[in-house]
Amino acid sequence: MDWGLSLTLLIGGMVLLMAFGLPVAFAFLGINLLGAFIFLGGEAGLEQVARNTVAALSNFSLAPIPLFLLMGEILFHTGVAFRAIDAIDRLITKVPGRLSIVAVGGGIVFSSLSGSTIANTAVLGSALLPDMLKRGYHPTIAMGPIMATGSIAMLIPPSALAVLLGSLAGMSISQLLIAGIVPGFLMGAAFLLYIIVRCRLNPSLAPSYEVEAMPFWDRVKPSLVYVVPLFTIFVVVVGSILAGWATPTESAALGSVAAFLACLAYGRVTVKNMMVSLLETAKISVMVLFIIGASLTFSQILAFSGAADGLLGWIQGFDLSSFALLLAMLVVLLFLGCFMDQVSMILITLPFFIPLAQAAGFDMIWFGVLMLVVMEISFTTPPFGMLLYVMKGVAPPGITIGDVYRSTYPFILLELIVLALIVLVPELATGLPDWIRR
Amino acid sequence: EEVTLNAVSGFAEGTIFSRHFEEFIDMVNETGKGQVQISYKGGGGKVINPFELGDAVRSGVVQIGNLPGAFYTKLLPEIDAVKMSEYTITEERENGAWAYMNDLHMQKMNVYHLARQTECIPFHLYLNKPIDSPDLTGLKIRVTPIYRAFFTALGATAIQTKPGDVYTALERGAVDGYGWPSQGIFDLGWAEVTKYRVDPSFYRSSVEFIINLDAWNGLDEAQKKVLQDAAFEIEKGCEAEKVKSAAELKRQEEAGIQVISFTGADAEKYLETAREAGWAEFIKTNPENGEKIKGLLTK
Amino acid sequence: MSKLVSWYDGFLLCLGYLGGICLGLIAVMVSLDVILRNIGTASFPWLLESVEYALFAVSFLLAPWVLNQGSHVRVDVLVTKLPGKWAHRLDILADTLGFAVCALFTWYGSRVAVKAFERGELIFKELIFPEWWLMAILPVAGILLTVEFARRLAGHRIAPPLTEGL
Ligand code: NA
Ligand code: NA
Repeated sequence: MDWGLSLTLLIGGMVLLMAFGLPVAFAFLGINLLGAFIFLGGEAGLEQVARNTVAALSNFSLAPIPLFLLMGEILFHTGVAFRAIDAIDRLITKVPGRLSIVAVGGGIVFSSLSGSTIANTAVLGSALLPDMLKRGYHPTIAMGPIMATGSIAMLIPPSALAVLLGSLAGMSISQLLIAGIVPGFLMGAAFLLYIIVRCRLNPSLAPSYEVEAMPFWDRVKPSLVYVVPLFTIFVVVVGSILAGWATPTESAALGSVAAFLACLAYGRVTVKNMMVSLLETAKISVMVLFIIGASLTFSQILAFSGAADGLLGWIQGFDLSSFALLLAMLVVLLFLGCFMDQVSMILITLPFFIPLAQAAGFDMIWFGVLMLVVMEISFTTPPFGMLLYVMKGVAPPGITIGDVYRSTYPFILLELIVLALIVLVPELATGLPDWIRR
Repeated sequence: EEVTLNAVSGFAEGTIFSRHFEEFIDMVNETGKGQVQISYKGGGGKVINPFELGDAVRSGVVQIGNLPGAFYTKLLPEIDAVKMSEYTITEERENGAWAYMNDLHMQKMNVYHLARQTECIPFHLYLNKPIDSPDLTGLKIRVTPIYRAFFTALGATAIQTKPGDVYTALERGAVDGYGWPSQGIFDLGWAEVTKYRVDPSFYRSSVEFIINLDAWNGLDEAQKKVLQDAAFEIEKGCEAEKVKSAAELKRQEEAGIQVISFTGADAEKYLETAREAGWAEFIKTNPENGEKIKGLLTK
Repeated sequence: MSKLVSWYDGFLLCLGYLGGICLGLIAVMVSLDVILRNIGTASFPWLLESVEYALFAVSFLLAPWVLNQGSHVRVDVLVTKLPGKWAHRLDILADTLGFAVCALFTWYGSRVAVKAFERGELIFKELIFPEWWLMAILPVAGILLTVEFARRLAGHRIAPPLTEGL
């Protein structure tokens, strides 16, 4: 079958099943069964799909997902996360879009505590969204910043995804992790600026309310008590890797035990809230893992059918300059990111992109950061975006997935601008690791 | 009538253990015009999980696969012995070892053994802490089932990590070393976080070309010959591989990897431990025909 | 009948708790492994593989419970745009498709499990055990998922309560 037709059939079929309202995981499963029948040779192919799903999920590299989620859930159900967000809330005085700014600030803090964009989004979403909606915040200015800063968790270390990309692409992982810091903060700054400007121009987006006046010390003290000590979790996760005690995957386990111990130290741990944490971790992990299992198999069928190769070969056929080639690769990633998860994107594109990037003489750390930024953006690009679903999952019942989609558009635009900046000024990515190496 | 077979490699395209397979495919597509063609679907995890590739070839979802025996020990535990074989594949084809193993391939996993490649690439132990005798006590060594028995017998703490974690684990000292063929550590980027290589080499890597038995039986003699000729051509690559391995070892040294070379009694003990630990484990897991296979593969 | 339904829901919830405890255990055991390895006493070579199999088993065996809770995310752009009657028809279409997909998956999953059982092949890694132990999870999860979609068709649809207790 012609690759264009295969691509249309697989992607089109999947979009159709998703549009009917079939849960995402089952839409993938359904199209996998169809695709296997056509491309993997009938019934043997269908059995292979079942086996592939087993293989896709029996993977230690996926362990950080439930573990980082557990970290977030523990901080969350013990109430420690809320105290931390309250503390950050205290630091911020009256500004336009105040709670959205708290979301960005809190998001950046949690980005350095967890490697999971999903946990980050879930914590911020459930901590702040109800309050925002209650105070009459427009969904765009309420949910948009939460998902946008939620996704920064994969740029600012620790980051499960940066580790995965670095390992698969043979890049220096510590350098890649450090290279993500500046772009991550740059995005946070862009979001803050946007929120302030937008809410000043249109105050009805985020109705202002009175913030209690209090002395400086009262503002700062809660942060010293509830935010600063939490950074020991960051120290455990990053420190255990840097000291050579744990592999990056194992550090996620240490992180969740550290989160448990931190909450224990605050005297907030009960059997009940631990059981709830575990149950909620299981619920979201299973939802996410089931999608990853099904979508990895989908990507394999996409590769097997020749559709993926066809698409990439078609692009190579244009004989592009290195700048145009870079743009083409980023566009392909953005496109794939609308339909699949980050792990699948990495698996599908790396075999083509790494040789292409090396041949074009790109700085590989820079290229790795660009890939990470595009994957970060993909977390919120519809129709398939993991954070969109997490947001939908934690939002009150009145919010439709359409509301969630719409709230991300301005932030996707901002992220694209930051991406363009890094393309034009590579030092934004490479500067920090180069400086540290020196 | 021209038949098209599909093919998948267990390794990413263009990497060391895929390259000869890709040459094989090009050869078949050149000489097999009008008879048999191979449609290469690519390699590595993007097409199919490498550990599922053996199953896929058995069921015929994939018709030709390129993968090391270590990826399908579940289907054919006996394949593990190939790493310890003291004969080349050409010799094995003459002394009956290949025929015995191929029968097992056909009976147990419904595939025909077409060819073996890269059998002249041996394994080495790579370290980040120096040793002065064949004793790994106190060292954390990353293993796969290929090396586990041997390194444990030398006193190492065996550690399993995902391939993706190896770089960081080495960089940060979570593991002190690993086993790997003489080629490939540059491709993986591990060379930059490796300080020592231990000589002599032990065992050998080998990657098998297997074809689904129904697909094989469905070919006529001329078509089979196209595949077989190309396969034999690949099997002649041993000498070239030795040259490449030597070049790669030199490249490692130029990249600053120091050589810890055992000689005399130490070398003897090192290699003897490799042999004994490996065969002991093999015979334990294959009580029925373990001894028979050992007899076929050792001098 | 309603007793049976509540017993069944309780069974699914039990699976949920077991899965959660299993994930917590992974965090504890992996941490313990790291600590013991670094003080040089012991390590658990079987742990990595056990975690891998647990991830698969938890994902599959808890998926029916997650479906029961209405927590498998879905794109509801179309459903929320349509008038009530059509939205209901679309729901039925989606659940019928889900039922068919899971029934098919159960069928082919069972074939995989039966073949693995007949062949009796052992998985040869650090842990050695028959492959069918793993593959048997496919039809079990498949049946539970199919049942859940059937229940949704029969009108048992829980609105996503993911926020409970959050
Ligand atoms: Na992070
Ligand atoms: Na997306």
